[in-house]
Amino acid sequence: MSIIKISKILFEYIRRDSEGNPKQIKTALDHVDLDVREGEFIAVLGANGSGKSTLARHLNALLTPEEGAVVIGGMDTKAPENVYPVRRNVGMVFQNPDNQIVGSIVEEDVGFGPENLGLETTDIWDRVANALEATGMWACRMKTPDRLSGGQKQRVAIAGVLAMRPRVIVLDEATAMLDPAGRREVMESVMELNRSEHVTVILITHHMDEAAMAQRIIVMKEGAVAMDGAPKEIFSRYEELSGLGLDVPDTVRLSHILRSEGMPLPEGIITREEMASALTGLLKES
Amino acid sequence: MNSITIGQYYPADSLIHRMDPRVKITGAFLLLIGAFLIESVPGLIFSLLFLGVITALSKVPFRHMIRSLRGIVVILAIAVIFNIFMVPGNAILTMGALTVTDAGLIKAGYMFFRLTYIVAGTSLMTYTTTPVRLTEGLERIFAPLSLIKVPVREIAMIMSIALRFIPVLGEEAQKIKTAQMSRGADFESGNILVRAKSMVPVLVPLFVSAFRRADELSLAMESRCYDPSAKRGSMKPLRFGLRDGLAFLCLGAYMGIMVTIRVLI
Amino acid sequence: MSLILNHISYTYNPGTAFETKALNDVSLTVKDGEILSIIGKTGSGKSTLLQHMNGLLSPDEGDILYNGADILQKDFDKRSLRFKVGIVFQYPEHQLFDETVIKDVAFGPRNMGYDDTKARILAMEALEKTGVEEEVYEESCFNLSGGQKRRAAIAGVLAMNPDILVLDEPAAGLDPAGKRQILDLIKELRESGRTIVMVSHSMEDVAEISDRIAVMDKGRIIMEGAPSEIFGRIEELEGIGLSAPEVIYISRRLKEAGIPVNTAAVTVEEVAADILNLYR
Repeated sequence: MSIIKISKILFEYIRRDSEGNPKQIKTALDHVDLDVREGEFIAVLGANGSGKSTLARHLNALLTPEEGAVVIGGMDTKAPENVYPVRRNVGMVFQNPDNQIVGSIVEEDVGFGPENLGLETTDIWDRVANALEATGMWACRMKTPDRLSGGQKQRVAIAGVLAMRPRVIVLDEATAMLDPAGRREVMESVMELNRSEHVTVILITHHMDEAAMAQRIIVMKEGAVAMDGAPKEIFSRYEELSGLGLDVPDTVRLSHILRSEGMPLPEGIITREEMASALTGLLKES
Repeated sequence: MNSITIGQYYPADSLIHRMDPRVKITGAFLLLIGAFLIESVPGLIFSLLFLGVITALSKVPFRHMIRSLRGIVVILAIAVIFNIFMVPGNAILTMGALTVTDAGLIKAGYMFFRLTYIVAGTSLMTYTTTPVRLTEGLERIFAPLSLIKVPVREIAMIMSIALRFIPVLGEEAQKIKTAQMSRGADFESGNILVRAKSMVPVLVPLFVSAFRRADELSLAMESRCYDPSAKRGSMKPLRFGLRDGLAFLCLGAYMGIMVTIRVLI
Repeated sequence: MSLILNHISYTYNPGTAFETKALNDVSLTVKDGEILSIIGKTGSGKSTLLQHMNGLLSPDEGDILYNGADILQKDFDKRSLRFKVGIVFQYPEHQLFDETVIKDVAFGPRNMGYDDTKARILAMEALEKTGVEEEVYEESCFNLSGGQKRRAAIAGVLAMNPDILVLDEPAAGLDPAGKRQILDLIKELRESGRTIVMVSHSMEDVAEISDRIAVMDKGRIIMEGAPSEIFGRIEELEGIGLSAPEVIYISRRLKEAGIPVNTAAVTVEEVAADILNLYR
């Protein structure tokens, strides 16, 4: 069942001069098609300016397309009455943890979304408690955000989104400002939600090791989807990725170098375990 | 680090923290009026006692209270100096054209005490009330104004966000200042004009950052279904309890005694 | 040309409830012409250490010597030290302020006392080194792309021609292409004789460009040495919440399987060359 259905969407940023006439038009999304099944874990890659964030903002009606349609769980985001239902279903986590925490203590921030939904007090508390537990932040519920690490702040942001009981969570470079420990915390939280709660996850990232954990990778280029497939498949197209200003995980790069020098390594190696055992086999023989 | 404490919530579990924000807002307002009623030693002692008791009840450390005064040092200094030299009375000391009088000294002392008292009183409110609760309290108190088209809820939300971002921007200002100092910026020498100009490399990035943050925050709020026109639920609904009633009585008694002292002494 | 930190300690907010010992008896020498990387978890004291290198912070205990001169002496001109040891802080693009890129980059040189023309020349040289395209020199800083802004901000420090360039997470938050440009820039700067100190969370980047690595934990330096030496101590690194580059884990597995890998190889290219060598 597809939860997100995007067909041929076009979106342009228009810079205007002082008279209001268009000065510069940048096509951010150029007739993008995309279908996401419920429960999928998708990573979106692409150089800066390739349209990733613009795409993300279309998923919960922060932006609506000029042409084409974005349909979330059967609701067209263009219809004004769908805006809030869509936002309830698609939660967004942004890059800078400080700029998305509204409340001055953790539990109040997590309650912000449910309060906006106009829920009863007891319902709000249920949701806040569940969301804090699911992200492992229950113990910090009384803290002020400035006493938290970057990773913890992002988990609060995820909890805040989770308390709306969304079907999709979009992380727009949500790990970019974190240290490795913070990134790990966030990735573990998100993968757990995907596994146990079947929340659909769309992860926009520059970190190839994070993308490697997804079930499917979408690569964007100049406002269009340039590649779409499983990580093994995407990372095997090494040259193409480099041409787009992207990287591959180190293991993949190692395997690429070795293969191009004539070592008969199997294709699709991503993890260090796969790599080590394949190499051990080959090196023991020789 | 942590130099700005006005408006920052101090997490603790106390009688004052649990109190209805409307009581605390009213209380802060009454302390403000009370401050201007202080004109005699008994008034001073009584008001100090009252503040001491509620501070003790709030579990906010005394040292933390003192820190809130840092932000108003300049205002305090101006008020005190102004009073010392400008109030007529019996001259104690003459320095050129300036004369210190006994009345001036006393007046300055009271002024110092009043300002300190006001800051301490309002800080106590913000220390013990999270901005979200404060907002709700204000919203309810000023709700009647929305009948004459004053956007009370929006103003309240803006206030609460402003309070939340004071420490964030304070830290950021410090960071930018450090970075510009590393590029040889000099904030310490020169006259007032030169110094004001030297702040440009700090203020411009700070404003840019504030706008960027505002932009991102509004996106985050929108994506979490914030709709200023819709009816919102409440996580911690305001319930005016017996305790709050008693608190109001205490505040009433405080005002009564302050007025009495003012009139009688 | 060297910078010596000798047994320095530093405490934030001494005597208050927020007291934190950020540096605890740290000794470190920055050698001429090297790339020295400092790694450690967030809060291990790296940023505090950096701010001691140009006198922004003064230690409670210990000495700091720059070219033999004691920078903690009262008569030492700390402001001039900031021109010799240039620090690029995290997300340096957040401090851009002037109307145009070139004016902003010239801010440092102007503070050094150069006239407008000379400051402009220095700014242009720095922008050229950092690869900022000439077309944008007269543009507003805020019209640049993320990677360009970062390079312009680095140019702002480079324009002062510091002997030692200190970079706090220079590639954080950039896309892979932007990150590549920054790493190449650092290598070029070293090539042209500049001393570099870098703080980074990316073990891959550190392995690729460092001559030497210092590892910090809880305000102390607990290891110091060549990349191959530091990354050979995986257990200790993991014990303090760090890790080694991915390829180190692979070569360790191979070693455990009895294959005589060269443990001095720390980058993808080096490991690849080593494996190919063994394979042939």
